Amino acid sequence: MFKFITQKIGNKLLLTFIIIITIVMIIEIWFRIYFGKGDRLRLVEAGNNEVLDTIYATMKYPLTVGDSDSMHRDLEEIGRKYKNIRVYLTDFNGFISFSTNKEIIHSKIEDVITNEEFKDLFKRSISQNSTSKQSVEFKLNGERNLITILPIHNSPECFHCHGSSRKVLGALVMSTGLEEVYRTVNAQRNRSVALTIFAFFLGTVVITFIVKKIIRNPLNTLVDATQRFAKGEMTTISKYPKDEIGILIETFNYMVNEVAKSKMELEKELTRRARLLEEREELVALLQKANKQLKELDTLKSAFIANMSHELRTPMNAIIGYTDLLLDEVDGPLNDDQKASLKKVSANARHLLQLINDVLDISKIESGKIELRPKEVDLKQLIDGIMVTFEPLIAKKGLTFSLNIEPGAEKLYVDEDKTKQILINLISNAVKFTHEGGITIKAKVSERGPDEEGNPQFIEISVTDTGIGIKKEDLDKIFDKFAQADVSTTRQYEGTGLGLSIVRGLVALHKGMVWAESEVGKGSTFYVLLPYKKEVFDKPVPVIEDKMAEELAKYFEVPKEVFLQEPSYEGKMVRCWDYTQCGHVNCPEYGSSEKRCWLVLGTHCKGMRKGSYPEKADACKICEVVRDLVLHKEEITSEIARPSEKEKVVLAIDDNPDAVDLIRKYLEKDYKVIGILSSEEAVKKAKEIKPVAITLDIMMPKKDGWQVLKELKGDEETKDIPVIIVSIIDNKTLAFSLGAADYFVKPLDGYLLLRKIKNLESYRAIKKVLLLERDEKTNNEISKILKESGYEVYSALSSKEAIELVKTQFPDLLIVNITDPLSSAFDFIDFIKGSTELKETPIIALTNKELSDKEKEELDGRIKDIINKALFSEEELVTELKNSLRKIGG
Amino acid sequence: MNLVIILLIILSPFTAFSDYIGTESCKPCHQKQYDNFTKFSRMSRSFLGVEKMKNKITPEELRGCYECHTTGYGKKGGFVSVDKTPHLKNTGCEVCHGPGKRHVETRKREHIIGKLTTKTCEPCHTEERIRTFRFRPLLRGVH
Repeated sequence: MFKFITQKIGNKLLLTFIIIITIVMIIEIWFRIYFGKGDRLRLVEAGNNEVLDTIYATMKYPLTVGDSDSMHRDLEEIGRKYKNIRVYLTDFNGFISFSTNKEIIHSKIEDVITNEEFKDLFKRSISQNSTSKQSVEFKLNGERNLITILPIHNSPECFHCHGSSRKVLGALVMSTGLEEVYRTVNAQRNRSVALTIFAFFLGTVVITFIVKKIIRNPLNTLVDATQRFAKGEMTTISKYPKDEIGILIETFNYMVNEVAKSKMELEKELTRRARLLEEREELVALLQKANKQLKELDTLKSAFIANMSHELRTPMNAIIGYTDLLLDEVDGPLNDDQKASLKKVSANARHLLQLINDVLDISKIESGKIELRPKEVDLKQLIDGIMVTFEPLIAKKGLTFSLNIEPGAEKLYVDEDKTKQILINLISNAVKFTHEGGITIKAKVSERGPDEEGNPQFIEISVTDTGIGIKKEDLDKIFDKFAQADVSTTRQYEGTGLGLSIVRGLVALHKGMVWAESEVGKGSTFYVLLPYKKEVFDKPVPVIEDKMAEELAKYFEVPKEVFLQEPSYEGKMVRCWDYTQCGHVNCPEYGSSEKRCWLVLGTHCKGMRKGSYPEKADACKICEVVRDLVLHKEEITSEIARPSEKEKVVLAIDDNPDAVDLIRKYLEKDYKVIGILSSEEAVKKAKEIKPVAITLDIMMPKKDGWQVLKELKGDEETKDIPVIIVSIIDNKTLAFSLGAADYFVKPLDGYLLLRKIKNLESYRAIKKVLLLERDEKTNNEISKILKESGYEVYSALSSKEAIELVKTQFPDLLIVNITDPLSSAFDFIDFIKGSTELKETPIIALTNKELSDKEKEELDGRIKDIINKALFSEEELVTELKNSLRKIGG
Repeated sequence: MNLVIILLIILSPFTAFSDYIGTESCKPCHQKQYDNFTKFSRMSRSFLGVEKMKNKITPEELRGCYECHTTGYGKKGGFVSVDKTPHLKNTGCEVCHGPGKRHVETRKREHIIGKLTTKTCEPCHTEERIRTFRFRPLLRGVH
């Protein structure tokens, strides 16, 4: 029963109302009875008194004249007229002399009103000193009566008959039936009760009705809707009142709509993701297939080269042998010219043979045909053995040589021949590129690549020279096949360009690693890690660096275990080159069962200088494999949506959704960024969307950024859209030659990107060009080229001249060489910055050197392009300048 | 009361020569007057009141009542008590016309008071009582 009440608001309200009504009505009834009765009785009493007085007044005269007849008559009439009134006139003894009831005359009043209380009262009333009327309520024969006694006092008019000796002659007694009064009070009470009951029912009905209409119905609707909503049905409520419940329902509707909307979006998103996943899966499958084919091809190629080299070596032997015979003048004397020619033949033949040998070596390494026969080798003996061949050359060049083997590093556990080859390669490079100073070889036990217990197992051998050095950007290229750091040096220094590649391959076979440090002009140091413990070769897997996992875990703030798992993509284990298209046959990870490239000692991803902890961690922190496949296993895809008409759109083409997201975050304040993950769609999308700019990644599966850039620039519709390359690889030359507007190397500086895009937007057609170049020759050359290209050129040799020219001509573009020794170009730039008319004019800065970040900062924003003259030949400089002009919009 | 006694003593020599015989004795000769008197005059029924009140007042007060509500109370041959002189218990003809024994015997006018004046009524019908009871003396027109 209580449940019935407590479970429904309406019933609670109803109960409250009913309780209130009941309480009020009970109070009302009680008041009515309690006060109503008293009031009635007082009224009756007052009435009684009045009637009594009237009767007494009426009686008085007949009494004084002794007219008993009229007295009898009058009282009888009263008796007849008023049924509930009985009047008795008694003498002082209580004998009734006159009455409305004739029959009881002469009987005693006590016999008529048989009540003890009355008897007493009567006695008191007619006692000598009683004066006033007395009223009292008695019950007579079961009926309540109000009896009033009026004592009749003696007065001179009475003396005639009654004498003067008595004070009280008798009493007038009047009895009024009170049943009527009680009936009235009861009737009132009954009416109240009836009213209560009526109010009860009316209240119940009305409240039930109102509660049902106002509260219960809308609430029930809401409850139903909520239950339906909980079951997943997204229905809103269309009819609802305007009160609080209405607001609740409105909120509910809003919520349902929002949930429905997000649910729909979610479903859409899910289908889209499923589709994307499918696409990706296909893509990965394709990639893997392609990779497999590539690997096969690579092996085939290596095998082919190995065979070919062998075939090539045979005739080379003959050539060298017979040339030497000729030089020895076995077949007769030679004149000097002949001798010189033959010497050249011999030298070139030997070089060719060396080349062939190297190619053979690298092919063997790459095709995995080399088998190591590791044994304990004394390092000093080994180096001494090698140095014998280099001593004449060192002596000839006047170089010093020192060897420093620290204790503990005396013995290696390696393949002696291969180690010899490694060291010969390194030392010959050092000797080759060093003209003064010396060569130092050091060996020590290395902390890098420890075993599971943390004990060192590698010896670090370094070969330091004081040679020409290697540029920073070339350092990670030098180990690639056929790469000598500076192309121009190839001619100057002999070499196949395969030496370091062979070194890397051989070191990788020893599970070690190789790296280099260098400073241009000061020299280089090449380091190799080679094992000195047999255990290194006992395991078939590469050397694992546990510390890398720790470091990465610390950086990404995730448990270490995350980085101990293998990279997987859609449930399948993947290798880093499957994902990033990196992958080098010389990579220690290549061909190994180990897939966690970030843990493997000596992995050489692009851009990585040192393939071991701790330096390697920095490279792995920005590695896509680590981020996408290990840290964020779930695919995040960005939305491809149509932009609204007004919005400026930047199209971000990158296969990595995170990169797109990052670009979006950088630009979202001013541009709507639409990400495209598939490079194949890029051109189509660009035509469709017509973005103000495109950011383009280079390393993308299926179709790389270069291809996309070519297509974009080759299409009439898209060739004018500026393309900004945002890539992890750094190849500005290629990018600009293909028509890129700018080049950003990841990690990306978002602020610069935003500014660049803004600048790109504000370009205008260029007609007048001002050239400030102190070098007259260059000035003339550039002027000529620009004039040929149809520009109006104003050339200035000094900033003063330039300022004068600018004041009158207002050029559309300024080409300024900013690296003149006097720095006067900056005066000119300051002037431009200060001028209201010119401050928006784009500037192409020419430099003779690479600018530092600080210098770039100083040029702040307004420099549209920086061309490093040192990087280009004259021919290239012209192309570069043209590119820049094209980019700017000339 | 004392005054009444004194009066009686003074008046006694004048009434001593006659006695009261009651109203019934007048009837044979004065039939018409008797009828009128008994029918209209309340004096003929005046003892009823005394009887009603006799238990409610003192004997002394009762005697006061007799003076006017009886015939010849306190006089020679007048009312003594209801038992002794029942024929004299109301106020009869003789109260105003004087004792009638000799007039009955002689039938002579001289032996009865014929001419009445208001002075005759005054011993009972005092100013005060006239006002109280609002009656007219039966001086004229009745007989």
